This record gives sequence, structure tokens and C-alpha cells, in this order.
Amino acid sequence: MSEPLKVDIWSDVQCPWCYIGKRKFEAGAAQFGGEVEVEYHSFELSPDTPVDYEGTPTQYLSERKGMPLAQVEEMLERVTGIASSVGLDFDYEHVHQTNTVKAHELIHLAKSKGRQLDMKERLLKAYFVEGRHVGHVAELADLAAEIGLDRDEVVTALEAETFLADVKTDVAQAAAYGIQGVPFFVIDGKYGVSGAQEPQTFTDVLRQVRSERDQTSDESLAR
Amino acid sequence: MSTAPVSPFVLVGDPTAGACEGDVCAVPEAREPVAGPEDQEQGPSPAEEDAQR
Repeated sequence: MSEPLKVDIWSDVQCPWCYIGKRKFEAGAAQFGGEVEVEYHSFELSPDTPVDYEGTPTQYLSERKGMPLAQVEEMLERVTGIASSVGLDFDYEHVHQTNTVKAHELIHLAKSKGRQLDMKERLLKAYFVEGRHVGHVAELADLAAEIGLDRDEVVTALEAETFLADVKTDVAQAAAYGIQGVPFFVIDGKYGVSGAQEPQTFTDVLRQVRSERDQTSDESLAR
Repeated sequence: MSTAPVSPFVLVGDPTAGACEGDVCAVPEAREPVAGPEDQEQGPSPAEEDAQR
């Protein structure tokens, strides 16, 4: 039996394209049909954002980028429409813009328990769909408990910054790889896929990698 | 001013696909069909090699 194909994904919890891209990747991987092992890595889009930013994402983007509110609203409406096309019901009116470093620490904690994929999905849904605050330890611990992690253990680890070094290692690795934007998918350590590509792109690259592996395997057997 | 490192990966897909950089999450316009990995920075695929034989 062949080894699963490894996919490393750099992503941030407050990145709309990361959630949309996650759905598109999942659709592409399902169409590929083979076994795929996914590992998420931390990427902080805006590490200087305060945990308790008092304002909407529209105001935040307008202030940070000097864009008129109407332009930001139009942009978010378009993103919401694209999210809807992949089955995601974004609710920007209730999104809490925040610092995501604690959410990333929680994803690493979940990885240590074999629950990273569930935690990642739970956090994205909490942020974009449910209007939950993913910057506060208490709220993060509640979300972790919802997927079956030990709430007290999560609080202790987040307050002690037990997994902060893992977050920073991921961020540094992204910089070393020249990754400037997310989502960024690394397929089998060879192919890089940037952004929320269409599912077919992921299917094609997974098939390409499978084909290359099979060819290498055949060549080894022929020797 | 530092320069971003060159990607060690073979980059595939539409370079204008939606992505976030810093605070900016660009919204792409309607796009052309996406090229597969065999069309980009790669030699011929095994299938193409077979077809050429």
C-alpha cells in the first residue's frame, strides 16, 4: 500500500481565503480520491492586531489600509458571496477582529492530541460564521472543549504559552520558504499552491505527485 | 531592504487566486481556467512522454 501524500498548509484563522481555500482543497482532494495527510501550519497575517480591537472588520481594514468604508464593504460582500458558493455562510457583521496567536497555539495543542484538523475547522467556523471571539483564552478553551479536548488543560497551556514556540517556528519556516500570503499549500514537499485555487488545481497536482511516485516506484522495481 | 527568498517549490495554479497578505485579502476578478502542474515549470508528464513515443 502506498504512503499518503503529504500536504502542508500555511493558514491564518482570520483569513477568509484560507477557509474558502480549505473547502476548495477538500473538494479537490476528494476528487483525487487517494489518501492525503494534511498538516496545518501557523501564519500570522497581522500579529500586531490587539486582542480586543473595538470595531468591525470593515473599520479595521479601512483604518489600516486607508480604504474608504464603502470600498471595504464591497470587497467583503464579494468575499462573502464567494464563500457562499462553497457552502460557507460568512457573517462579517458579527466577526471579532482580533490577534490570532492564541488560536494558533491552540491548533498546535490540538495537533499534539491528534485533533488538529477538527480544531482548525472549529476555529474558522467560530470566527467567520458564528461571531465567536477567537482571541480570548476562555472562548478558545470553550471551543476546544466542544471538540473533546480538556478545557482546563487548554487554559493552562494557553496561559503558559506552551505552544508559542511552535507557532513562531511555523512563521519562521514560512518566511524561509518565501511564503508571503496564505493559504499556501505545499504538496509532498515539492509543489507550492498559493491561494484559494479551484478544486481541479488541487486534484491535478495530487495526481501529478501520485504519478511521479508511481513512476519512481516502478523504476526501483525494474532495477 | 531585504528580498523575499525564492520559493523552493514548483509553483502551480492561478497566480491571481484569492489570498491574504498582511491586512489585505485581495478579491480576484473572474479568471481564466487554471493550468495544471503538468503545464507549469515541468517537463512532459509520463502520459505525454508515452504519447510522444
